[in-house]
Amino acid sequence: MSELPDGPLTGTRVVSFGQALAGSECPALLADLGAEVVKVESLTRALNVRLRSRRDHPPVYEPSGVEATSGVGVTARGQLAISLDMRNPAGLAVAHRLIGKADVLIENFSVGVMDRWGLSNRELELRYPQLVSLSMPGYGSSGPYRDYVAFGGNMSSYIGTTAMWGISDATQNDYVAAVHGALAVVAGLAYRDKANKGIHIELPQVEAGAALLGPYYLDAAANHRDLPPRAELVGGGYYLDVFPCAGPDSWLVIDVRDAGQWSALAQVIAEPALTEDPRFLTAEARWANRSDLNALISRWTAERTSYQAMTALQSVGVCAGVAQDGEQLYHDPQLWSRGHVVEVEHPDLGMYRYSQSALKMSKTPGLYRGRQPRAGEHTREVLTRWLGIDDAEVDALEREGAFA
Amino acid sequence: MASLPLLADLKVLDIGNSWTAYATKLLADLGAVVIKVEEPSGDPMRHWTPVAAGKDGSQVSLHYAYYHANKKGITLDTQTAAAADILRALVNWCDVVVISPDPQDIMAGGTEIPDGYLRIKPLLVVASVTGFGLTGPYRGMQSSSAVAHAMSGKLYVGGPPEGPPALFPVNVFVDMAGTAAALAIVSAIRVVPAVGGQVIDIAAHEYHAAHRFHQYAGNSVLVRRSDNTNYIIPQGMWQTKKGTVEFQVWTADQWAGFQKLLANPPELADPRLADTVYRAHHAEYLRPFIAARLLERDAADLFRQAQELHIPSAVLNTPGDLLNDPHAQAQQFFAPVDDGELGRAEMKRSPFRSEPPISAQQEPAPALGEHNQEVYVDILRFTPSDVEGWRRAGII
Repeated sequence: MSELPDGPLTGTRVVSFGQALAGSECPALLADLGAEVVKVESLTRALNVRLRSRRDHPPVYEPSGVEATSGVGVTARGQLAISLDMRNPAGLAVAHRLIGKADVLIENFSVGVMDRWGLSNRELELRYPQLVSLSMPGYGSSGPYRDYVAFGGNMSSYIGTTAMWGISDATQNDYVAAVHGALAVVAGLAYRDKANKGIHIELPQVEAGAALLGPYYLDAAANHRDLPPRAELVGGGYYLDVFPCAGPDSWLVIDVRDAGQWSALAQVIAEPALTEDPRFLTAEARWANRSDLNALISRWTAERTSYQAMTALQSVGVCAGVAQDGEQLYHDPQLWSRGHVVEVEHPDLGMYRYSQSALKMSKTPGLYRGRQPRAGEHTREVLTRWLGIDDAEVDALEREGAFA
Repeated sequence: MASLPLLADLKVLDIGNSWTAYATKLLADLGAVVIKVEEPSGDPMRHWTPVAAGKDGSQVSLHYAYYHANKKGITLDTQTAAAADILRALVNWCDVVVISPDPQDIMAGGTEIPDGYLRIKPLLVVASVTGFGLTGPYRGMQSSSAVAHAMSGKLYVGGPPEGPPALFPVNVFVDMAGTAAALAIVSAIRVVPAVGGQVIDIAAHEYHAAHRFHQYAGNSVLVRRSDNTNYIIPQGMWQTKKGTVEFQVWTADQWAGFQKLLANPPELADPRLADTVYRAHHAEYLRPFIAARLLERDAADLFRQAQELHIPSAVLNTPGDLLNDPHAQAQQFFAPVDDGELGRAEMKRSPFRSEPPISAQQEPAPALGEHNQEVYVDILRFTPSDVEGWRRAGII
């Protein structure tokens, strides 16, 4: 890792109790930016990012017997893994000492867990006044639903995403929350530098998701309706839909942005009706006559592969993109050209290919800075380096059961 | 009320468009001073739907009202020769310039575009937010939230197995890239004293691709929509007698809770069903059985009962439903704002909470050119007659 260029957060120390996808991806983004992130995990209650993601493949185990992170285990990238039994007083004491050396603390436990460990907001502020701490509860630490359990898909349903999308996406809200959480942390560090004191920030994950639907809540209140009609959902778009292309399960999104692109589309597919037929003249009319309109456009797309259709439309400035499947994504020349592909050797899983950080910065780049760790892989290293304790003391802590 | 604007000293110039609107909204909500530059004819987002009737009977874009709250709005025709000096003054004033060059200009200029701003002010952070980025063979292609959704691999895996895949026809995939840009910007600002200014190049395509790429390239799993439909049963939406409910049942404990929610039917008693993969293989049996049981129930009751059994679950809300949700109301998700053009509006508050609050008092989105005088005269120290001359020449 040492030969990589520094990131903007190099030198920043983070202790993460982040669980599941949002709680793992948020500190991973900080690790991409160069922060040293210690991921605290209990070996007896392994993180659910270790849940089998190869579906029907047999699981792969680490030497400790814990299941190896594969799939969404990529969200543990660049982090140092330490195993602590927080119910053991010795384990809890180590956690407190690590937090004392950290700039940032991240957690997304159910409300009340941190309080039981003597890590309530009040205690954190008192004992670690320079700490920037981020809590990412599902619904928030107060209010009627504070104790409700929620995964990403549930939160999408609660805020309106599922109703507007028409499907229940399991991970959308997790990624939204993670990147907002990372932003909150770095903004918190900026505040600490100026004010010379720490800050506690709470980011309810449902509120991160809802922040992306702001116009639709304004609409519901102002126009007294649950949801705008489809023609009004698309914001600045002229016409948007998914069209079938040649070959099995092959689809193209055409997202016409303005009247000029609409004329260009009509010309390319040789259907003057698009600009002449009164059924297609206004957004409302286009949506009301959607099946007729889509039949005209599909006649053209269905005779071409999705890439041929995309290229023909993009060459005249019409906004369009292929619904790429996993294999097509892997062969995407734009990704390869921009250095997206990182090859990683994992001791249990073998050779993997993961994504380079999308946080492209010319001097202090976001980077994939290391494979997902084995559970507890860095316990001894972190204790030695952060706390300055020697092997004999680590051994003693191990005998006390601190690391289970 | 006292507040903690975390980025109070940060000065941001947004000369982008809908690609940059959410990135700079986040910075504004965190306390930065954001100047939004518009063409004299107005930002295209002012014409986005949905709209609401304004105080004076005009149609107000709710996107504009939401995304540009807390910003200062000025007009400038950046294509005119006379604008170069004005733009130079604006760039010299700010710490961050946020841009979203047109793909055609990227084909011609590429990374030269942000470098031009750095030459004006070397300590500047220049952030570009686009569909495909400033480099690479697709850099000249038009993009949008839906195109980013499609090209990233995220669209393909959602929706009915027979197709078409389900579009999420709103701007969220652009806004997520904008959030990544805001993260990179506040990070870059931290190291300006050490390394100087730099260029940030956020591409929505690769930001979203990173969330799917590992499944095929890493795990050799080609996920299809049929897999997602039956993955982790009873994931997904279920109709009830009244309303729709949604579950995420992953662990054995959660499956035991779900059995209890359905009054422990013998049909679900097989212990092998605690395994998610085993359930997926019996989808044809499980889905109709579960659907029939849930159809007799009430979504709101199921949500409450499922939560008592610690099952990750929710009711399906529309945006309108959320306004009336007891938790959203108790937590004040929405702050009534007196928007100058719109009147009283239910504005989603910034999601960042602290004591005292981080976010400054909400200011409504600016009217076209509302802050020309304040920015050009009071901040940049041009004379009122300069500004009047530009106005007559159509530059602002």
